[in-house]
Amino acid sequence: MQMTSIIIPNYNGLDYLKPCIESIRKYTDTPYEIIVVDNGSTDGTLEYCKHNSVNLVSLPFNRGFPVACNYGLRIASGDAIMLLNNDTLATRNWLKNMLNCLYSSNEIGLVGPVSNYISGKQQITEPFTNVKEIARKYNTQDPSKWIPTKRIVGMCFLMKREVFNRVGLMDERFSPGHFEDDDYCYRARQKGFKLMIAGDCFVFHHGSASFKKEEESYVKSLLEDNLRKFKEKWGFDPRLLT
Amino acid sequence: MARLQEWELNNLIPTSKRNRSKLRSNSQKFIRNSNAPKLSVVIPVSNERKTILRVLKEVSQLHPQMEVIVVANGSQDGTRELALRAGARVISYEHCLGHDVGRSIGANYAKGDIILFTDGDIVLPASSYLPLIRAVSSGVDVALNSYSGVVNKVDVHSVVLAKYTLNNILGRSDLKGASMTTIPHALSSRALKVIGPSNLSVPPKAHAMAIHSGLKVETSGFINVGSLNPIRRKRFVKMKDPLENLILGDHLEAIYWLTEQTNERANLTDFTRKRQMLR
Amino acid sequence: MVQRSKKPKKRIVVSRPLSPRKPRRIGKIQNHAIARRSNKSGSINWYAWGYQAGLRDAKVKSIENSAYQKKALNEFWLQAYRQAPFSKSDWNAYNQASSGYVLGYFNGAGIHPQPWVMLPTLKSVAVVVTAMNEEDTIGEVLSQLHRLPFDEIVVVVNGSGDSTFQKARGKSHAIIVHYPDALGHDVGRAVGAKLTNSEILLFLDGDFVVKAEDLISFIGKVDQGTDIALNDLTPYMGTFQTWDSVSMLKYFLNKVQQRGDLSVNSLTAVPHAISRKAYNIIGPSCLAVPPKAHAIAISKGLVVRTAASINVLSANKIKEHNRGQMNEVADLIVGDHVEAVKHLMKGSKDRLNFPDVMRLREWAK
Repeated sequence: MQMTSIIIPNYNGLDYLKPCIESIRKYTDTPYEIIVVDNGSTDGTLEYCKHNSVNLVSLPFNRGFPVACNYGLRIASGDAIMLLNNDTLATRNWLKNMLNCLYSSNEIGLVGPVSNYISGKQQITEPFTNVKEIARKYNTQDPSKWIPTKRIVGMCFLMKREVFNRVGLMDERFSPGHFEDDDYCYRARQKGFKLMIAGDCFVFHHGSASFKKEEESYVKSLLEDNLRKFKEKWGFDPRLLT
Repeated sequence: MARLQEWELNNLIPTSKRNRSKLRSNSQKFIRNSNAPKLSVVIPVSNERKTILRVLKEVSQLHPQMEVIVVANGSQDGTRELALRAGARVISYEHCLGHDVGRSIGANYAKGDIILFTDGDIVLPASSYLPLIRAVSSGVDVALNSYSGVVNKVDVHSVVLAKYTLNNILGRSDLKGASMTTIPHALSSRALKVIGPSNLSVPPKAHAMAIHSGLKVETSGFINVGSLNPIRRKRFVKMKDPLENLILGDHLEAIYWLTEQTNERANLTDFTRKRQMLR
Repeated sequence: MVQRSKKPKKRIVVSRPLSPRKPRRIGKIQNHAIARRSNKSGSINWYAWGYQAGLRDAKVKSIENSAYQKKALNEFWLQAYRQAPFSKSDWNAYNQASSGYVLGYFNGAGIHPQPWVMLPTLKSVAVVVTAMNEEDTIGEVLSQLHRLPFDEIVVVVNGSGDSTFQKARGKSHAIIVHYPDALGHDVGRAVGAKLTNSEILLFLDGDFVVKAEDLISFIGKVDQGTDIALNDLTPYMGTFQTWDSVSMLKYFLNKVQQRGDLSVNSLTAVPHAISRKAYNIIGPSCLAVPPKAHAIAISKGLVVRTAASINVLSANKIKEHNRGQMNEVADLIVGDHVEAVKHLMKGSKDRLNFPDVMRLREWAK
């Protein structure tokens, strides 16, 4: 039976992390391990993890999203590996459906769900009501809902171990965050892997919680910086792929 | 077994210096082989002219219904002839067959319920063998000499180390350094059947087989064969003892055999190490 | 009264330039001289040599603006160390000299002295500490590690029911991994190693405090080319008859690989340090079975040597209150050694390098 490592980077996000983990525990019926990579939180995250049997990598201070992901990737032992934002909620059949899509073909390397707050083709078009209702609507296995894509958003990013072995770690130049997922998707496609959106899997997302707390101008400059870094690395604008 | 006790008490003739000269000149046949022996003594020999008659004289007193089987291989100094004249059952080979092979061959011909193994160059009084014989007759399958080698130093001999190690792996650290590599030792006919005579050519492997298959393996008596080996020691003091490497290899062969029967850890616990965490 | 005429004293006038003196680079011979002079008995005083070097450097080099001051000072130290008048394999002298240097520097710079210990290398060094229920010792262990400018410290806490994690987190800037379930013997070491990037990896247990100075030779040896630097336990071993099963297996494994010189020393014991090259060759899953890692290292031709001799045996004796558990652990380690031997036998080499060239076995069939 395949085991999935679910890596959740976190920085002072206990209010989101707690319901996220609870939803994973409630709705996941395939073998999994949760690895929280904590970026030096001071809000009680560490105590929570310790008392709730969560595997934890505790970094001394905030080193950003890609660095945290990489520690999680190194320590993950699953056949499949998922990167998950802490401000998300799992839904009934979520992982089963995504794994089903991931392993439906040897060529597929990366899979992402649809969501209520996500960029690109993964955004659901109908108005969002509540999690349970939308999940009930979407989460029945249906391969016709699978859409090939050139990019999966890092909010919920499921890959085969083989992809990690061949593509490697996240590129830490994109610290503290943004466009590292575009970069990874591009590298995966270069190695010949196909990316799929599992339209039959809805995962709830609160929305840029990690960066909401920062000032708008800071976020704007971060996006600009990383966009420039991406263009310098690959020579094209990643936004053209979505 | 009442007869054996009688024999023990009344008929043992210790070999004194006076008797020795008699033996040399007296080429009389003194071994009487029984056709239905209770005890078989197997002695591999090559060139042990100086000691063979004394060894034979001692073992020939061990039981009224016994046979002595001498496996002479590569004998060029008259040892074979001496054994023949003394009345032993001699199986001869022109070439040297190598360490311990003679034991296998002799064991193949042995008809006794108890099979005692010893060497032709170590003279031991008959009484030293008795504890081993008694043990087998009272139910022990493999009766070993508890001599474990020289252990009151830090850099112990490889062979001693190997014997202790194998016993530890087999879960018999109580045996310390006792092993079928060391003579003398005695087997029951059942043990011989279970182990198989050909496997006696690699004594550590036979030792592992005996213990692993559930035979009763115990030490019975301490016979200090270390100090009785002056000839062997002299020969090898200057050059590297080739036997040392051979015996080390034998112990490895024993471990290989054991792990093929069980698992790569000889069935020792892995304490549920979470190895899957390390891909 | 007779007046003696005074002969006028000859005065020698020396003209000197008015520019300030440039600090002289002192060569090896002069270093030696300083060290000798400082001790009246005539024997070498490496501490004094280091102190003078530190004092000198404080005048011209500053660590104030550095983000990682300990590391910055280490770089200055290493430049001075190149001129060291003692052998690069004399770790006693190294420790004296480096501690003298540190104090000399702080005194010269007018900073309150810190108990820092300097690394003998510019290469990156990581230390992995495994712990289960070590709340009593983990603080001290980390205190000692903080004296050195490591690039990475990883603590792997697994199956812990006490406050080991909190103590470690509160005390240190380490990366601390916390697994609620016990990972099993030695797996923690391998998990921790997976998180490191450094060129030199040092392994410790959280239940035994090792002084920073005692770790230097392990790191130094790997820096100088050793792939596996081991703790030398032989001074603490009695005669063979007192040995336990684990010691016998360790010696046996070394003997069958023609490394009887290593005696009972092996990767089974901490502390030890390995090179990144050794880690890549052995791999994390084999590292979790230390005797197997040890056997692989030797069989692949890695350089395996002893570094220092730290008595970790007495610490284990304290835990002997639970005899049953000790026997199970002993069985585990014996099993590990069997696994290691069997691994060496891959390819049906059932006698390794000890062939049977003496016997004609066919005759026995």
